[in-house]
Amino acid sequence: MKTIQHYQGLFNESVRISVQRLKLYFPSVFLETIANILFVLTVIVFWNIIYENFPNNKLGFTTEEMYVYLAFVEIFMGLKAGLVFGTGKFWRAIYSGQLLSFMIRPIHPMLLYLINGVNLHLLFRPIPIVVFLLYRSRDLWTISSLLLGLVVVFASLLMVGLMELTFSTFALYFTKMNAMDEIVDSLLEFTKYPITAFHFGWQLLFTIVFPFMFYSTIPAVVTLESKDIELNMVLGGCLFFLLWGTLISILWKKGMKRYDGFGG
Amino acid sequence: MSSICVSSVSKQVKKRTGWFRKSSETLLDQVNLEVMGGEFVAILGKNGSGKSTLLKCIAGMIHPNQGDVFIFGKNSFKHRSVLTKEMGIFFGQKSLIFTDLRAIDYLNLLKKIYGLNEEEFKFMFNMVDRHMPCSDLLEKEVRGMSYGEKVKIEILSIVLHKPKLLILDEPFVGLDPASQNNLLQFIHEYRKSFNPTILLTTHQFLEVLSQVDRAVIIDKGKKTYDGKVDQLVESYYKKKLISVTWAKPLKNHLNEVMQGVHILKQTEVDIELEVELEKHSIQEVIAYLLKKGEIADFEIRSLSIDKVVESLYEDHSTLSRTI
Repeated sequence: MKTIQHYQGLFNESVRISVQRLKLYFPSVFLETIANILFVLTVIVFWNIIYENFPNNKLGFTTEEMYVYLAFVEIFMGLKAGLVFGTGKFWRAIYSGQLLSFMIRPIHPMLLYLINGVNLHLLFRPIPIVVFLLYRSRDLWTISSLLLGLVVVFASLLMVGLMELTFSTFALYFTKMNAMDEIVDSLLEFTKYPITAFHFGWQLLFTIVFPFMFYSTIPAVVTLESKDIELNMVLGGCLFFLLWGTLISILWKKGMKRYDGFGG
Repeated sequence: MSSICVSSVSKQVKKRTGWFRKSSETLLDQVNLEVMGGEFVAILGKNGSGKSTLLKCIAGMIHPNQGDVFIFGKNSFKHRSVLTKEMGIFFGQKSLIFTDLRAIDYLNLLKKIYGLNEEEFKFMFNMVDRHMPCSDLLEKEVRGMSYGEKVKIEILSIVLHKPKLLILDEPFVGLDPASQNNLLQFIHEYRKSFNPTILLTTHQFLEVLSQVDRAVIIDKGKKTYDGKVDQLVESYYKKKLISVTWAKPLKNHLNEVMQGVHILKQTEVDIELEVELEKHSIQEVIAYLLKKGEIADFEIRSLSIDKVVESLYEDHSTLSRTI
């Protein structure tokens, strides 16, 4: 109970820190929001052109359904930036020796790193455009189906965060992991296109091995088709966290024995 | 009771030196060290000698290849997370504060991490503030602070929870003399109030060495000296330097002066001597020099403590001969 209270206190503090960041950097957040709206508008124009010129496309979504998909892309990206932005850059903290500064406190250094990386103010960035997209497709979803989609997005967020942290941990072994930046970009590349457009084999691969489907495609499908989350999806998710959780735990423990820090 | 027990600790790192080649470098070599509760120990050594690596091993941040470190009876690497509740660790060259926030935001987070209440926070804040004024810094963004200001906040951040062990790696680097003195005063008060064990590395010798109980010298990863500071710097007090300017140029250089008086350098118009006070008094040496020529001016100085320690780094066993 005391531990739960302790972590709840830490979470509350990280929220407070984020609010503080919002206050300190409000003009920047405002400009980011404007930039994000402009970016998504160009994406909407792009998809409208595709739908007009290729009416028989096999994307798996109608134009309006695509709005729901894009809304989930923005929700995913917003949550990623706001909650687990730094997971893919954790290797830099290892490489630079900054990790040592996280090790002087009675808290897991990864957790302290994550707390430092929480930017809740970035959650506000996609709100205007998400509201717009969902309004345009308002006949296609219900509140409950939307909430279900959000649950899947949260799960996928934890998945991608865990994967990125795991890959970053390799820096304990190989020191420099520039490839990690490339991997992070590649992982997020799959938020650009609905994976329903891919062949079934790819869809299977991106569901079981790499959970790209969960970023925004499955949330959109779940929302549009008012599907329930099936038991095998829950079990699959649990298996994923178990496997990657075990992997990162082993890599971390063994890697820490090899870690030399960085300079005096 | 011993607070720290370093037992035969060695640390090697492998470095890639070619496409497929790696070489091994020894950072620590069979270091043994025992520090008793409440002791203040200075760890001295040249840059790259292994001081910081030793501190990182002691703090449980890096794993020694051989040997173990025990802090308060617990293995420091295995129980690092628990032990950090009792430790305050400062690495002068690595900023520990979240730079894009105000200092108070970071300190509030630490309050939560350590489970401190407002009263405990204020108590430590006031103690630090008395020596290193920092009340004006709390609302300031860390990224806008000077280095000296950041150090104040970092020091505050590592003592908030009243640690029983302070590990300070070069805390004086980059501070002006007044700030160095303030920090030293704070350490003194903290010591008086809580009797912590303190390990400190520094190159600011004279001021710090006057406060420590013991000094340990690390050279090329090996412990080369572990003992009282008095013994370490006794030659500092037993020798003097005399510089003499002759009124008229000497026709012949002095080849030797007296036993225990060494010529460091000389020209036609001046001479610099090192005097072993156990063998001759300053008065005797000056009297001797007056016989050799008319003196226009002279200066008597102590040895530079930096020079003393520098020669210790070279070879501590020859301390009494070389200094």
